[in-house]
Amino acid sequence: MKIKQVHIDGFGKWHDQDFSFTNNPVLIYGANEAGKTTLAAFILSILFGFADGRGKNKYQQYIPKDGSSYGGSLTVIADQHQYVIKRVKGKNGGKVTVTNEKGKKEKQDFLAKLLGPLDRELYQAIYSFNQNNILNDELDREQLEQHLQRLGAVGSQEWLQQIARLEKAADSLYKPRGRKLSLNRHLKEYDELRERVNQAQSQSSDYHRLVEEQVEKQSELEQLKREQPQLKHQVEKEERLQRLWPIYDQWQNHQKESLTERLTDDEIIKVQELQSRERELNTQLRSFNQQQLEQQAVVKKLSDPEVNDYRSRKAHYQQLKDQLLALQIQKNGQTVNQQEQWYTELKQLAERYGSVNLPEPLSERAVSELEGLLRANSQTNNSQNLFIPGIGIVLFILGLILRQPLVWICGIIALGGAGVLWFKQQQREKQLTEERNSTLQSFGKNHNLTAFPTSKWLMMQGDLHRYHDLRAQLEQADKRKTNFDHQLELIKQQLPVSLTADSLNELINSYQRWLVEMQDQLQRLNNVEQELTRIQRRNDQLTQQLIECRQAKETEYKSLGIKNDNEFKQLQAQKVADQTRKVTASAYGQQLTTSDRQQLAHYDSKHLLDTKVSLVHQNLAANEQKQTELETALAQINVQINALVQEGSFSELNQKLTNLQTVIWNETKQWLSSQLAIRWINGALKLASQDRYPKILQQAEKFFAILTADRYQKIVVDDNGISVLNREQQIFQVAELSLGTAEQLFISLRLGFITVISDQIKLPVMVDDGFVNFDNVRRGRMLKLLNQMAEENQVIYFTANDQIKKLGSPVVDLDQLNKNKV
Amino acid sequence: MKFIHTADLHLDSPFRGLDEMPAQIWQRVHQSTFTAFERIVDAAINQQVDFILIVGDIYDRDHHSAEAEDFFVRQCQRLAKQQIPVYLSYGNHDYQPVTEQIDSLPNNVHVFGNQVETKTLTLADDQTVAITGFSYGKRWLVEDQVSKFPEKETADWQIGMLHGAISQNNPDQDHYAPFTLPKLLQKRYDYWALGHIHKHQVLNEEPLVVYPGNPQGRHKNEDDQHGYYLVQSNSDKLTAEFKPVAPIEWCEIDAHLTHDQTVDSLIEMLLHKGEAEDGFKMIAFNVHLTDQVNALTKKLLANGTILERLQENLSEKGDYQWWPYQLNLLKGTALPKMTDLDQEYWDQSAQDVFNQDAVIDLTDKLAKYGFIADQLADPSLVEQLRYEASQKLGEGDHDEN
Repeated sequence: MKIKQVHIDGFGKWHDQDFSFTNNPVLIYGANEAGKTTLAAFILSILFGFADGRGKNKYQQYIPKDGSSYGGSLTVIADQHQYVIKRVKGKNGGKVTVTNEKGKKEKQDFLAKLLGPLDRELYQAIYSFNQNNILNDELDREQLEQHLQRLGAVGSQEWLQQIARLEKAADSLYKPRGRKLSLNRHLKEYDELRERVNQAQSQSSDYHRLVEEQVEKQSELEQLKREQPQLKHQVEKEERLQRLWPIYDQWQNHQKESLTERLTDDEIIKVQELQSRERELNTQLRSFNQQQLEQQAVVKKLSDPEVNDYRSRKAHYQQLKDQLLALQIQKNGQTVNQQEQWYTELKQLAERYGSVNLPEPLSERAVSELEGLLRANSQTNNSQNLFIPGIGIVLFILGLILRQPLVWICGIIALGGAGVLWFKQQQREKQLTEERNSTLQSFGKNHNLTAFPTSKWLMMQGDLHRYHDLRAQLEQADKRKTNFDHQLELIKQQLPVSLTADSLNELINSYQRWLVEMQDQLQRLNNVEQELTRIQRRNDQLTQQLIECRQAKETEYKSLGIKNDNEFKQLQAQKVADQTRKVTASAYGQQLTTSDRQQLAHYDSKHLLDTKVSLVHQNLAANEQKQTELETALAQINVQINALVQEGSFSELNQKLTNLQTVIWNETKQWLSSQLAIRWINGALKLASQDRYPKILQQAEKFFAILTADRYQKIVVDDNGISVLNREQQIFQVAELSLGTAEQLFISLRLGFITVISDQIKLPVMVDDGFVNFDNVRRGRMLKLLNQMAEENQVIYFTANDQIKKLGSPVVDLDQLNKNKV
Repeated sequence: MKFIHTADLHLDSPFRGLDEMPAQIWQRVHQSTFTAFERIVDAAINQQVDFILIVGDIYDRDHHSAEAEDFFVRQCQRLAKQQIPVYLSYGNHDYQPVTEQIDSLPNNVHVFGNQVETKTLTLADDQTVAITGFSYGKRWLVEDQVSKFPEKETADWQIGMLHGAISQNNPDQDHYAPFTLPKLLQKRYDYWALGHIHKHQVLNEEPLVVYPGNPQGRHKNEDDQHGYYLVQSNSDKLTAEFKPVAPIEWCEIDAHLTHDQTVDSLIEMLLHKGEAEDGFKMIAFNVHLTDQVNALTKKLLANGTILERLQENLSEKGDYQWWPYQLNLLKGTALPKMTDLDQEYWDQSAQDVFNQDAVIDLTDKLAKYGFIADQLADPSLVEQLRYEASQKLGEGDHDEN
């Protein structure tokens, strides 16, 4: 863009004034106060807006004092088109309009397009060369170096100022080793607060400890509470066991494993059977022994010499007896009795017949004779007598029975008849008897029977016979008796004992009695002996059985582990006792449950149980005690916890801390963003410089050569910074250059930059030669340089040096204009 | 089956980004994490849920106050009275060794151990629920935990409790039981109860994979509604319904200034905007500036006077329904024009300057503060700083004084 015309309606001292920029460079001359600066400000104001009247721009407004209208216009050529930029009074830098060569208004943002990204400051920074943005003494060499290095970027100077500002802002906020700066203070505050929070946290850890303690105690308490019923139960249980102990003790005693366990009922029965059998056998044996003894006594008694003798000579004695009996038999014919009988009979007979010499008995013929004599009268008597009464009785009875009066009458008649008959008979018999008596008397005399009644004759016959027999017999008997007595005497001598006997019979009887007695005794002896033998045998048997029985019993005992009956008895007694015990035990047992017993079984003694009871009592007491303690402790903990919970200072401090964090972070962010912005700017500038420097240097070296009259030919930028090379090939660091040379270098670089960016943007370069260090020679070189610059950019050169007019180029002479106006 | 899924209670953890506030607001803010959880417990009791899942970060380990613990235990006791089991795992903020040791929690609270384990419960209708989870034993769990979860077995319902973040495939970031959605789905669980991310979101519909968010947002980045998920079975499907409970909602409200806005009218406008909100809101106003804004207004905005006046205005009324805790000035992020010509250099430099390493380098000793280190770890920090730095570059030409 190039400015062709300047029209000022009113701006500072200028009003209604036109300037024509025909040449390039545009040379504007004016002494001090001639309005150079105002004109320059006007151009800037039209392009970038009026200053807003605040701050340092306050005196940059140039509002006309004479009341003429504020503003004016520039006629510019850009991209081969001409535009008129007009700015008048208005908000935000004034109201601007751009009119194109056809008189048409361009859009609002057209001016911005024309100016590119530049604003007033940036424009000035790049295109404006004046005292303000030329190096001066105040810049130290280091800054200069920095400036130069950053020169490659658009607005590098502005940016450097930004950096300085940001650094100032950042440094006012925080320095890593700072103390009084805001962020540092806040961090310190934070550390302190943090410390307090930590303390509060330790309060919180107090809380944790307390809660833990509380929970622990609570659970301990709960545990105890849970245990308490158990303990109570245990106490009850143990006490119950204690009460049960006597029963248990009894039960246990009865329960003890006993020997009789082995003793079964069958065995008892068996043993008892054996025992009773033994007893029985013993009894029997005893009885048998007794019997035996008795029998033996009996035998002894029985077996006296007599009996023994008898026994040994039994046959002999029997013989004797037989002899005696024979004697007796012998005697019996003539036994004394018989003899006596005979004798008595004889006597009786003699007596009966009254004589001692009784006649001889009749012979059989005589007897028959006599019989004949006697028989006649005695025969009939007998038959008649009985017959007729008999018939009578029978009839009578029949008649009675048959109720036949006829019959019984007949009976009676018969009876009567019989009676009659019997009487007659009696008469006749008496006659007969007398006849016979006479015969008989004769007979009697013949036979010496006359001493005897006839009636007896016959009858006597027997007696007579008998008498004679008896006599014979008695005589024979006497003979026999003598024989007998002799024999008897013989026998008697052989008799075992002197049997006092008067008679043989007696003797026999005695002897027989003796024999019987002996026999009897022998029999008895035999019996007894037999019995004895039997008893003996039985005894032996029993003994054998007893032995067997005992053996059997022994065997049983052995199996029972006992030795004798006593022990068995004891055992049995024990068993009975056991059984009793069992019964008792079961009675006790019924008072004890199985679990009771199991529980009680844990205790070997009452003492242990008592110990246990007191232990569980202690446990319960301890439990309750502990509960009370825990409850007290918990109450205290609760109070403490509640105090901590309600205090809330921890939350508060935490929030404060967090708030402070917010503050700190915001400041940190501020600081960071400032620092980063600085780095960003630096980075961008450096990058731009690095990129552009070669081109800038290319241009700048030419410019620098012009300005220094070829004293310096080369500008070198490397890691060490910027250095220059003179004709003598000597290298000078920027810091080694004189201020004037450094300024020339600076201007060269800036112009180089303008040249380099001219393909992007091309605006007029405005130079105000307030260059204090420029002497005329240098100014001449400068103009030469500007002429060269003018090949690309419009250059507007303001100077107060009138030498300019002598150069022969057209000059806008402000002094002249002022004079004309005046 | 009906249960509540919540996580990240962060009871009694302080609120970030706040400065001085009236006691009343402070009280309200302080109580909000408690109130939110209390409301969840209320809901559990009213809804007669079968159980509650709390997937980590019940407390902040650094800010574990007596009050918080006391409160949590009491709430669990309320649930215990109703026989509502609580299944909880500890997260990266309340990591702790889980032992069998008795703790203050009532018996209805089932705490997952430091190793993945499965707990089962039988519901009133005899359905069985297997819940698998784990508690953090340390601040970071870089190992994959999901692989340790068993596949669904015989239980009628299988729920996974996972406090963690989706794997970024970046070892510098995957510190919280990193997982991938496909790996979760592979397990064939009926529900994945996630925790750690504070914004509620459903990662997958069938089966449900859900972050319930924290019941109460604690700073402006945890804005919008916060609450819990009520999960119910409908035959063999589960539905999850988000239920807001947070007593305080953080929100940002944009305010555009017109060029002729006066300070009074600006305050009026902000008051109006604040009052228009429902519920109790902590409001950050983002005031968009334009070049035309009155310079005085701009200045008063910048130095906090306007926020103070706004707050004073509310305090005078006494009845707080919202609170403006922050007023951000937003300017265009465009850099000063003079960078345009050198755009490529600026961009290049920005790349060099605005990266985490450079930021951490720069922070240097400041990073020893945990909260600063945490902020530095925020991946969005660099952008924020760049934004602010840009703002700063823009300021230079106007506010040189």
